[in-house]
Amino acid sequence: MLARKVAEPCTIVVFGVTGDLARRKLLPALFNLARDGHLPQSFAIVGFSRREWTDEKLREEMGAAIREHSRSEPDSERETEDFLSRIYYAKGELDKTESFLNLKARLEEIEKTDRLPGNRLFYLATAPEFFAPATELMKAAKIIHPVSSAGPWARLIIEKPFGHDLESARQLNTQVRGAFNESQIYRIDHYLGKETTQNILAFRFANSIFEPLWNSRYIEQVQITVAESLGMEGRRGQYYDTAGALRDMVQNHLFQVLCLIAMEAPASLDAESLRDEKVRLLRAIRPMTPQEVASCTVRGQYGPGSLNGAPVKGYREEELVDPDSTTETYAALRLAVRNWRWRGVPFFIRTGKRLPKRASEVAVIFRHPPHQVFEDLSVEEARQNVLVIRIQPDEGISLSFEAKRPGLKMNLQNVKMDFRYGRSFGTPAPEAYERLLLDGLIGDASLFTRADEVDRAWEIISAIHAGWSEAPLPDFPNYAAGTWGPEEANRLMHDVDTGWRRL
Amino acid sequence: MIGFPVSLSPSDIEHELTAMWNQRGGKDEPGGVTHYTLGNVIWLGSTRHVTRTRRIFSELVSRFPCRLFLLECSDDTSGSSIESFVNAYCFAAKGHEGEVCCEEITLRFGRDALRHVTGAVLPLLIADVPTFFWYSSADPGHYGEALEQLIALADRVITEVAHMPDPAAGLRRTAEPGAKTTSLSWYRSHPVRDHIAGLFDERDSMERLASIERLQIGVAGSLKEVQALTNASVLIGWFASRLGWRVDAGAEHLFHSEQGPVAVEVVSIDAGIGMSQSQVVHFEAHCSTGDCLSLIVTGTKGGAERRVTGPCGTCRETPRFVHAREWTEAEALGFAFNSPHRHEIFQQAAAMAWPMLKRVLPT
Repeated sequence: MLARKVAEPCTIVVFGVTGDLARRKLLPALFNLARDGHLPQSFAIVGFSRREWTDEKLREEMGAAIREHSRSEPDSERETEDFLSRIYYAKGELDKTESFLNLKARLEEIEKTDRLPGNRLFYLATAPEFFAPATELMKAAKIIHPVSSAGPWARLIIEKPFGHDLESARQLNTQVRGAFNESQIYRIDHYLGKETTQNILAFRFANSIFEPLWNSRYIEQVQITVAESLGMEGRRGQYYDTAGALRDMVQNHLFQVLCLIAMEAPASLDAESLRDEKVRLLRAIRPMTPQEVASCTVRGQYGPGSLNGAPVKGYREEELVDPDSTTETYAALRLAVRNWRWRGVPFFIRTGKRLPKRASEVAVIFRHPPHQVFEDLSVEEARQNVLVIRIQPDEGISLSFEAKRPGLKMNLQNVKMDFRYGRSFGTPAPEAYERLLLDGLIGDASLFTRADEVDRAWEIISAIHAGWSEAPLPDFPNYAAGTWGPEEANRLMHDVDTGWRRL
Repeated sequence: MIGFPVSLSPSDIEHELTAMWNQRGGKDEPGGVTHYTLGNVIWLGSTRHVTRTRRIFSELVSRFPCRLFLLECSDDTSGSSIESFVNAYCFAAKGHEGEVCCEEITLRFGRDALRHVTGAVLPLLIADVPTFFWYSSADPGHYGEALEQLIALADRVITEVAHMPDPAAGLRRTAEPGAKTTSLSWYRSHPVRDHIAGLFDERDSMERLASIERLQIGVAGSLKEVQALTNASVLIGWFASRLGWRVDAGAEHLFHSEQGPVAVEVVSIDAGIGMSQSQVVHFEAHCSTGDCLSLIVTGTKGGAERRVTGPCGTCRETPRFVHAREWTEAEALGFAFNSPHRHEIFQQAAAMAWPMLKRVLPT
């Protein structure tokens, strides 16, 4: 029987507590962890922000956030009040020494009053430009406990983006590691917290029937898609215009999914073994030359279009986006994994904004049978078997195969075996942030990215950016909102029968 | 059908469908509802045809459970908004406990909203199943760019070539590589073609194939009907393509076998009881040996008469009666959706048929 995961008594410090992430994800996640018994009896949450708030104001705001965004309803108002009573507020600026000295004093006061041992989890839910100064000031204020087997622990959870390119990522890493040991740093990629993403590991390594087929002999291609129907909601355009699809989605989420799909089986699921294999996989992807970038990548930007029956504006008309922006809102890549397992198998990756629907999936497309026994019966060539892992929505796994249609003739019909999370398990899945926060609290880094993973991902991405900067700019916008991206993306599939899957 | 159609915004459709199925019961419950989909079927047409189309679909779904999209273009509706409704068709399937159901999504809109229709449909298409698009080709310009966008969405397009502004040109386009349009009447005439092919099943009949020098095709009703001429031309094109004949558009005789030119004639025959207008009701192949093989469709219930006569004009064989009637639209569509791989046979027929149609159509 598996022991329930319960964190040790601790203090959770959320920098940027008044921001959207804390409201929509972090505090509701902590609330659900608490009500499900994963948080200890003794814990405190300290929110840090520059607003002129008080403890009461923060509790009021977080109470509203929990009622709106929690996946589960509280059993009673008392339950919510009890949780909120653990929340405290510390006003401060992320780049002011005095703010961190005040924070230190506040932490010590709370830990004394609430009898907490001093374990601290710091969550940087802030803009990336504050990561380095904040950690530096944390160190200067001596609020970080060094790594020790005896004393209280300190950990840092840091949100993406981890840098803007390889150089800035390395620089950021150096700065953060000036304050924290690598073992204390938990770089979050919330895709790794999703139930179906983790199910990739279970699917691959807990079942014997698939692993023998998981190679170039049987698999023709793999398509990984993260499609978003949203555009720039609110003020997001300001950040996105400096990032683009490649940085925002491919460098982190898509590469993480790619790693889980393509990596070798780890010896165990401890953090280092798992992450070693992910890094090994990334090292098998050679950064592209400019010529390869030209032939193996496509970028796009959405223009005005129609979605769900209503008109939507183009990217350049979005709020806080440069009207002449050349930022890509769509990226498609054809990657080659150069190892024995995957030699010759193209990995097609695509992501985009304002695509027809929100959907993320991995499709493993198997090769045609080596010999078509049905030829003499004039039966159409059978469709390829496709294994689809749906990450969101309608989480599940399906396998399509050919079956004989009832009748006197040998007519084949493609049919699908389908597993759906929603129908197969009685309990609802926890949110990704619940799992990740809990793992951060108990010190399990399996679902967090390591520095060398981040570096290697940036090497691959930076090579693409370098190639793009040398190539002529595409004529943006080159796809209408509500469509599946630029037509040009089809040329990446010149040597496979299938096109991009329509989700 | 179950329940009352619920009016909602296109962005809420998927959510509403999920709620509908949750309300009806889980998939694995004995005696409950199975929600099943073999494909997406999109119909585009005008309000006045919706009721009839719905009737066809109610027959069709037991042959091909699918997600149906009824795109109803109304001249009475103004503005650029789209009104949507969801509903379901359910039937009892043999060997299955409970009902098998499939979904119907209706989008109602005016001409001003046509440009948004594809954007409403695209997110709702179910992945990993084929998509079929069925529309009336009578006035393709009526739908503007939306028609081309919906055709691009589909894996197979069903329409009626005879209703196109230029049927011969339309038929020619269906024969081009990569074309995905098939004529509905092609499927409807499948039983008749089947029996014509059956005429040549026996060895000595088969041996006569190479000696055919004249074909006569009889259609029910007037030769002024474009549908009749189209049906006849496609049938001839099919026959010619199966036998490997060639077409010489400049010659007196359009078709040529290895033996030589083949004279082809289309005649009008009074439609009998139970026969639909424009249906092919008579096939006669005359051989250089003097033999004649014929198939006469005698009505939807009476079936067809097959004859093989000898050089003296007397019957060598006892006439045989078989059932041969045109399929209904629902039957034809069901066959089309379940047999998408048969498209190349139609294309080969179309390639041989369009020169014939061009010749026989009045200018």
